[in-house]
Amino acid sequence: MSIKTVLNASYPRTEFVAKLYSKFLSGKIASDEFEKGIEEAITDLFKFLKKVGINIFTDGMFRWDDIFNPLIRYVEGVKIDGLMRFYDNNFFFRAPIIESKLRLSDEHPFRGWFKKSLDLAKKVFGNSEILLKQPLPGPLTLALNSVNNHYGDLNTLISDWRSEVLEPLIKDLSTVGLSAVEIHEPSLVWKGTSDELRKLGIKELTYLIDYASKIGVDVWLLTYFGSLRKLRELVTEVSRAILGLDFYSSERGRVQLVIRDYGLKRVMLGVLNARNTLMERPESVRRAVFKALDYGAKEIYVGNNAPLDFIPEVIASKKLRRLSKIVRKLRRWK
Amino acid sequence: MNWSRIELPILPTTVIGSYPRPKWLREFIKGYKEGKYREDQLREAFDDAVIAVVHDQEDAGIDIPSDGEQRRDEMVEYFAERIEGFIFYGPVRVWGNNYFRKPAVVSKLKYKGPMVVNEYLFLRRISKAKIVKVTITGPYTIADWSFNEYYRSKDELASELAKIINIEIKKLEEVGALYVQIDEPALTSHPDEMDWAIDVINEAVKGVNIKVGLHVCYSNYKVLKPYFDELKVSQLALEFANRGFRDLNILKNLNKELGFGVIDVHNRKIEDPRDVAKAISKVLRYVEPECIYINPDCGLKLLPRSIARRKLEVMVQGAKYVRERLLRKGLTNTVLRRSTECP
Repeated sequence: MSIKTVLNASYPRTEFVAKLYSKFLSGKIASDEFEKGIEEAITDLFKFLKKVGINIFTDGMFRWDDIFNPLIRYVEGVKIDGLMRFYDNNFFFRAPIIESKLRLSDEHPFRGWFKKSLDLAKKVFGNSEILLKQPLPGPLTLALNSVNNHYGDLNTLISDWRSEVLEPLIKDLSTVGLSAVEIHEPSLVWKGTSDELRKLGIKELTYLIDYASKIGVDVWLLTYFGSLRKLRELVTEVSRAILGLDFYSSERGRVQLVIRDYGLKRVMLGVLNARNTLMERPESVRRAVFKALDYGAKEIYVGNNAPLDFIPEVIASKKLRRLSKIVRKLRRWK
Repeated sequence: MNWSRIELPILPTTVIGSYPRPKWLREFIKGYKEGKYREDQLREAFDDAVIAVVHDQEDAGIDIPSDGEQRRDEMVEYFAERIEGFIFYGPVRVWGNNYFRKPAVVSKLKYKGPMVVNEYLFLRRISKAKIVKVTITGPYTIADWSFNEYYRSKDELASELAKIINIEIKKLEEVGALYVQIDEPALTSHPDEMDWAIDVINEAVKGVNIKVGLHVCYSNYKVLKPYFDELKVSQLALEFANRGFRDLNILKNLNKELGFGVIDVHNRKIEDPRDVAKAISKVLRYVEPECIYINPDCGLKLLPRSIARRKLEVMVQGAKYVRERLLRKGLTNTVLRRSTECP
């Protein structure tokens, strides 16, 4: 049995990062100075995580505008469109317009970025055991947030996002030390997704999990912004991944039922609410963890239910610090 | 007042609300925050900026200008700062590298006093236009874009805000405002909340006897369509350029005026006036000409000022091309409507 605190997905851009972007976008600093600043920000985040005791994390996604950008800028066959709302949030992204067959560009920067973040993490954490995850959008979420002007059916589009973009990218990243990929699939549980599409998404995810497993990459499958009721028995198909479960979008008790009914062994409990400033109560976290243990989970990760961009940085840091403290107490108790 | 006598050219051109702050104003605000200037000097700077941006709009040929929201840093922040019960923790990102200070509700909300009445009075005094527009952020959007730490539910919070916005709109009416636009960009973001969200907007305009428009942007209009009839507003100002004029079919059977968004405010590329005219011609298949206003998709504030102004000129030019065609059919004017139906 193990209980660990994690940082999933993005961490809010600090004032320093916001100003850095501002200067870069207005041409006041060159790309090398921007890059140096980003590395400084990632280092600061890692120092903070080390201090609060979190050693499973992402690099905060400071180079990303959202879960799709800049990935989609390095995919052949994609044109970037106007702003679209990210599910039900006051948060927007540039949507991909699919104009021809998808293919990951050979010129993408993600390998270099991941290697750099991993080196920085090793430098900050020294000999401590760490896990740096690379967040990526899932095939269903990518397809349902695309404007499709090319593919005759959604099935092929979902499949091509997986086979032509995500798998080659994961393979590429694995050559520079990637051992865990975080696949974001809010569309899997989103109320607007039909059961038929959900099944297609699950099918593609099982292929992706198989593929990643063969090259030694563990998959964390994060679901959020919707009820787990939508997934039901489909959960079994993807239970080899570490499943991320959003405590704030499902009915009370639903997460625990999913763990029990489908015998999940490895789960990420999204008990840190990334969409509200209220601090999590220790009792709620304790109950979530102990229920998961009671229902048979063996590897429990506790973290944010969704990207942290939706709350101010000052609140995000406070919440992570507090969560880590609560989990440390739970470990002693158990 | 005889509303049928307030005439406007057919396809009146207007703005959604915000307009880029002049560079000198941004620097002045920075200086003010550093303690270099007094509050009365800042007020004077805001007044001067309003004069400058209203001049930009009028010079570009806009029929119904706004004050460019020069005094507002952000559309929710501004109101949250003026309503008792809100606090601010810090900025959150909205897209790219754009942020706003998302407020948190920590105690019962109370109306402290007029929020935009003075904005309107100043604008009315300095504008040459027959009609001016005042914008006010709607109760649903303020609720949705706030962290709720106090009320038991979001609808309870939004209802409280609706009462406050209603007081403010009535105060605008008292001082002579004729045209208020409620901005509700968040409206369709939670489809399962639409029933009560519409009630909340209607609550905000209850007992109001002036023209009220409703602006909804970057949204799923299919979610909004079933509520067209229920909304007690006279105009829906919607964004279409950003979405490449897709979804125009949702306008079929629209029983209100349309504020037609023809300018992409998140793209620096200047539109071609002929494309603007083409888009207007397209929308005329769905909405009668006397029920259409022409506007950008949304506020222009994120664009450089020179580009914003150029975009307005192009928009006006595009509208003129279509007006010339309508003239041949004898259509030259429309009237300022406050009725919730058009025609």
